[in-house]
Amino acid sequence: MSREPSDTLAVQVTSLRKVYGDVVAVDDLSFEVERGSIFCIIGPNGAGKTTTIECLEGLRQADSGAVLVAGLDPIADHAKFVHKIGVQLQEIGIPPRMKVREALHLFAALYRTSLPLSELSAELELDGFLSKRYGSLSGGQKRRVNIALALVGDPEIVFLDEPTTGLDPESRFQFWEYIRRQNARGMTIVVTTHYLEEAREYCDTVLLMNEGRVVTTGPPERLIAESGLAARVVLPRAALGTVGEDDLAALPSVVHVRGTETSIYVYGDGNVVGEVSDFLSERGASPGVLEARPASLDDIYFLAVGPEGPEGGG
Amino acid sequence: MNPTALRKLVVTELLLALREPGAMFMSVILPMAVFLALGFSVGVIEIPVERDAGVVEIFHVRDVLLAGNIAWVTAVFGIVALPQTLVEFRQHGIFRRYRVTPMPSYMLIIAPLAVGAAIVVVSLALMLVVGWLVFSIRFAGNAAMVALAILLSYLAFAAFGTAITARIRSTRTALGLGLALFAPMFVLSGAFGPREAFPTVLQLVGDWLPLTHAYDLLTFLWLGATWETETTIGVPVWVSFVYLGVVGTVCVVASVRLFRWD
Repeated sequence: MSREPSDTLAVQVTSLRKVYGDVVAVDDLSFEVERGSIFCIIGPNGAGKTTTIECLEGLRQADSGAVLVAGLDPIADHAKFVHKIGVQLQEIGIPPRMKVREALHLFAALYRTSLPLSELSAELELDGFLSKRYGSLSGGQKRRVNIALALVGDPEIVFLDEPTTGLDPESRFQFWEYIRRQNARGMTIVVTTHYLEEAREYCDTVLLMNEGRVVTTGPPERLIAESGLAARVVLPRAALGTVGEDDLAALPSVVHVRGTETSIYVYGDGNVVGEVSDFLSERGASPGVLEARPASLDDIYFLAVGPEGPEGGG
Repeated sequence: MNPTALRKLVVTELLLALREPGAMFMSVILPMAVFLALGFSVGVIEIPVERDAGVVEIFHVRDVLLAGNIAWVTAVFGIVALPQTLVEFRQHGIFRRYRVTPMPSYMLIIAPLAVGAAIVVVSLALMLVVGWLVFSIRFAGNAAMVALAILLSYLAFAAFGTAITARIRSTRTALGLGLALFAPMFVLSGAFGPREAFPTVLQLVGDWLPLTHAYDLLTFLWLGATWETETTIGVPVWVSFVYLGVVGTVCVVASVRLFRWD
């Protein structure tokens, strides 16, 4: 199954399927990434995020389905394709004895154009260890070097596989600022992350995957709006008396209830806070002030993926 | 691939090689040490070489030590050092990383080969200079034939090392295997001492080892042997040429079939 290359789409995936032995890593996956957008793939470990991104990068051959990146087949059009993309892999990828500066200069030389190295190094905070060997760097430093090497060729489309894992909050902020500036210049960003607040704050479109399939996709705010979730209420179990999960789940505004040893989490629409509050008063339970917050991407993720997800603890 | 990138890749690979003290020791310092140690001890032993007209020309062991050393330096590179680089590329996902860049994958084999060739040439040049200054060594061969033999030996061992480590994903395993294969080859080739001193069975094993052929080829050519001259293996020089060529070709084919990029 193939389709026509598009000028407005950076990535076109149609019915992608990839199997390792008995394990179906990606199954009937279809999505599109608009040119010039920041596209984020989220999902629990084993959801198929890395397999998907590696099929887009041409590192893996799909068992069936079609992938077009910048209108090119990543494997059949490899020679043209590699000039249009930048890639950050999760694995090491650099000889441990190579110095950071050498890696930057070598990679810059591979492409027809390159970003200014001094700016790249300053923005991604590499200046402090340019003369160090890659193998001697900390995990976060290595990650930043790998991000820099993905961007150095000024690609049309950059694929970043968990770029912010292991980065401290300040580095994550700097990373996203720089990525957004590259995006504003027209670079398409395809990224995977475990940090859902990042996906919501920085990405135009989110693709939530689980067990190799699309759970939902769209702009994060729209997903939240369409989910029917408006708020999440946390109730301390000790103050609830005889009230249990089932009682709360029966309320009309409640979409989902999850109990832990100490708390009950109630997810619901716009009326959930008032309804829960009234119900508890009727039953004589007195949890005091209700702890509630607006629904977030975390909640959608949790409801779709279940407690195994990284943010599943609520 | 553009010339700037190619130059940067080779220079970077050279820097990486220089930062690997073990490989530099084995390819430059050890052969020099062996050259000097043997040159000052057994170096004065005479080697009578019979020429066609029945004339006997007298050389000394030290004249030819260098040629033998270069034979095993090419083997050290091919069996020990080159696989370290290639296995490291495999182990750390470096082949994979470059596959998503405009760098053609084969360049990642060509570049270390070029660097290794440079190191062999430097090792040879240093021994030539020291040999000339310290021992006034003599060369009676055809330089082109010697150069061809060094190149053949270099490529054959590089192919051999690449083939035997084609699927290994740990530099330690590759190092262990490389040394385990190189050490007996080194001893049985005669580079460690005259083969005649070994039991017959070990001499017979040695006859089939590529390093023995490379060693005999280079030492005999250094002293002016022709294609037809019989070496210690009991075969003419051209047979050792062909043998190394066959070993190299078989190993190239095996490498192409077995080699894993990740």
